[in-house]
Amino acid sequence: MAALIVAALLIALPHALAAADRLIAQTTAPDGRSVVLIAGADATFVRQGDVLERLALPPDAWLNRIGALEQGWVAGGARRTADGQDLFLLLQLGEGPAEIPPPPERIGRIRQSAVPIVGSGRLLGMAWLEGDDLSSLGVYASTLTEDGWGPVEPVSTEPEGQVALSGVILSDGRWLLTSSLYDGADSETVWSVRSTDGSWSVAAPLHEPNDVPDLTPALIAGGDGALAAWTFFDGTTMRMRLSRFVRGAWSDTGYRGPDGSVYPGFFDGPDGPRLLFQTVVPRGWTLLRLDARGRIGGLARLEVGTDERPVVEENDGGVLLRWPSTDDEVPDRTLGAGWEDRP
Amino acid sequence: MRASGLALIALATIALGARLDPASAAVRYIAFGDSNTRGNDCKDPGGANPPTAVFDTGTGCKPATPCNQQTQDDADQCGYAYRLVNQIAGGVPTAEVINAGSGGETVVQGVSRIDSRISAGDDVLILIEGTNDISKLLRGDIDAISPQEIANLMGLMIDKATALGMDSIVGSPIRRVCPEFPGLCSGFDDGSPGDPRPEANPDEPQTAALDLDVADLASTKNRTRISPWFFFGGDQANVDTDYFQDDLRFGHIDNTGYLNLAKDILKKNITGTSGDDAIGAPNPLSPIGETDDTGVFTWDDYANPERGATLWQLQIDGPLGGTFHDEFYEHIDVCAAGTCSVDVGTLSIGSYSWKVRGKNLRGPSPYSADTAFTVTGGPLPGGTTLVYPLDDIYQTDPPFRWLPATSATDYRLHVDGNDTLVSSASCTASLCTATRGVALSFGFHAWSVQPMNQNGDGPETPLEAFDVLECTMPFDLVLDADDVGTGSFFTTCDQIQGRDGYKIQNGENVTLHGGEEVVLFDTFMVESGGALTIRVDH
Repeated sequence: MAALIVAALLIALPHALAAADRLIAQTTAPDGRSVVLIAGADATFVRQGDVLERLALPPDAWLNRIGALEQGWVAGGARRTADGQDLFLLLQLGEGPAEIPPPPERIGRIRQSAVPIVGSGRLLGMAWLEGDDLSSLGVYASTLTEDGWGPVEPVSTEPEGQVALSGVILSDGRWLLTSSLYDGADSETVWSVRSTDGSWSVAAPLHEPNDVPDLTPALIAGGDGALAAWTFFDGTTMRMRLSRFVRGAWSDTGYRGPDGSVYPGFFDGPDGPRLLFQTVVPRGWTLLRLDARGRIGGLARLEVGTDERPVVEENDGGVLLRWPSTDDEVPDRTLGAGWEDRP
Repeated sequence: MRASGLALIALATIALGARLDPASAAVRYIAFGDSNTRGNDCKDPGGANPPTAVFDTGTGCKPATPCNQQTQDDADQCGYAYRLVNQIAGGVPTAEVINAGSGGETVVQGVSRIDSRISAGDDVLILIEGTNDISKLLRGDIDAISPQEIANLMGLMIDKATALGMDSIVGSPIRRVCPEFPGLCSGFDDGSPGDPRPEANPDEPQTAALDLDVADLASTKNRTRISPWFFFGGDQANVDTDYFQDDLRFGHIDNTGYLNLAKDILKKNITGTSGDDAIGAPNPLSPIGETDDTGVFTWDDYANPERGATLWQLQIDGPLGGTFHDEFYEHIDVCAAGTCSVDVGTLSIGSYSWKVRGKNLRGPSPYSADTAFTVTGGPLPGGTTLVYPLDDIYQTDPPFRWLPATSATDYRLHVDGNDTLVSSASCTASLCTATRGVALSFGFHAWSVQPMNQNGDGPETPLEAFDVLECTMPFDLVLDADDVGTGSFFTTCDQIQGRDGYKIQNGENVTLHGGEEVVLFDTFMVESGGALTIRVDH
């Protein structure tokens, strides 16, 4: 079969196209609109489709997660307090964003990384990191009902500490969390699942035992399971890998990213998951078009001279990488790339 | 500068990616890290600055030069590298300090990028990174890594440099926090989202903890550490003036800060600093002249550890021509008590030449003089010790047992003047055994063993006498410690012989220790042609 390859555009991003704003997170709403959290020069913004909304955050709060709701969005982050740090959650249901009080029963000095758990377009709960210092954060969760927050559920409180928390809801209603756990020698990508009866599985690595760093996991639900991607040190360089969660277990898809492939991130595309990651040398971004089983249907890549993460949009036969501007007088910077059929 | 006929060679800073003529023998420093290395607002040409941005005058970059007009040389003047090379005193051949910083870089990206920026021929890596990782960690970003892993990944970068024979200076991350200087935190509050930024939390101890992790890393890897934060001296005015003044939002180092950083690096005995110039050529000790095939190379360590080597480079040219061995070794792994030693394995017969040099922050030393030697053969085998038989035995064709000798390939078993060649294949790791297949007469005999290999014979053991006794009943019995209780043990003399254990004299009371159990043997006897019966009487 003749390979159908649409040549990717390999373009060095001139500084005239560089972005002053920083993309924090991107997700996709049930109706297909992209929802993007952006740190601008002087404020934080949410962009839904073409609508840019400036947020009036308290001066001591910040956001770093976003989930798309059926009507609106929910963003999570943290907020400084007099004695440490608590969670910060902002909910937008069409009438302007409103702060949701965090779950009570704070036990650690520091709470951060509020991960909204969104299912069927509704906010169903939250997972977060909590502990007395950043080296020993554990994972906690709580459900959200019309009566408010449920009790705090300890998920994984290993003393070594966890970072890079992600969470999704599976098709059967269970919650799935991944994070990076430092085990005393190196970091492992671990997972826990919350059964429908509310019990949590013990956090366990989702990969084979190894003695190399496994870092920055990303997670997305799809089909009857989920996909996770993360970066590991292969003995020479950092490289991304991809695993699939189905029927309660993880299986390695076998995919390994190119040398220096880092910082993977998922979002939903028109016909399945999309996985965006950075390549360090040559500096650029690569987008994988996946199906729910983690099979790669195509990729698009761009060499660009910026570490800033782009917003990804798809158009006829190609991909548009957008570095959004929050300044009315500065247009977005965009670059296009075509799909290649296989890596 | 040295007073010599040679032209004085100017110190030079080299543009990103450029290289001097190798013939200049410059000591090449690679300044690797994030914007604190790269220089504020001086990202890669073609990088992420908007066209209206100008170099920050405080950084020492060309003032008011739009970034889209900057040249590579302009950009390279923005970090500490430019100041470092200008601070290096005269009297050294040359020094290059290459600005290999990349604004915004994390250690995850650094591990992936460093291979493209260091190569054989570079001498010293100056690594200061982790600030951006701390920021992600403090914010709780989805792509944060654990604080412990930040130091681990810095260690991986040091290992990569070491593999190329580079010494390293590892720096603690530049802080964006101000635990010691809470007043400064207000500088971060410019109305931007999240300001006062979480990094400005006065209680944040993470950067201080990472500072300790980096100190541990430097100690573990025997590398030099700098702590950029602390050379500000804990003086509020210094911090305000030299550190944050030009960039309150992100807390980049300013011009004076970069200069201080360069001066701090200069304190680490890098090239051009006061004191000795580059370390001297080491003194080879062995092998020299004719030698066996033991590939152990030794040379004198430097007496002064402050001027000593961090790494050693050993080059060996072999009899087939060309260099067959060119490896780097950690000083702490191969040197002790003033001597360094590396075992490269067995050498084949032929003529060799070798040389060695040290490397440290001042660059490489000269190589030692080419030292020739000839391998005429391998080492002779070591000695051995006889194990059995050593006394009275009842076997006429006993197994002969001795300890394996080092480097032995064969053994000459010498019994009553007759030699038998025994291969080392007859040996286990702990014992060699050979049976001659020749019956000995009753009475006294003598034996010895001489180890052998292709290089000659090892020392022969002293002759050992033993007495072959006729097996008649009753006889002396040799038992194992496990042979306790009552029952049938042996039926023939051959089965009795050759067993280690307690020797029990007929008709005597003997105490045996079998495990924890103590058994008193009152009397026993061996019935001719039948089973041995031991009666136990407590």
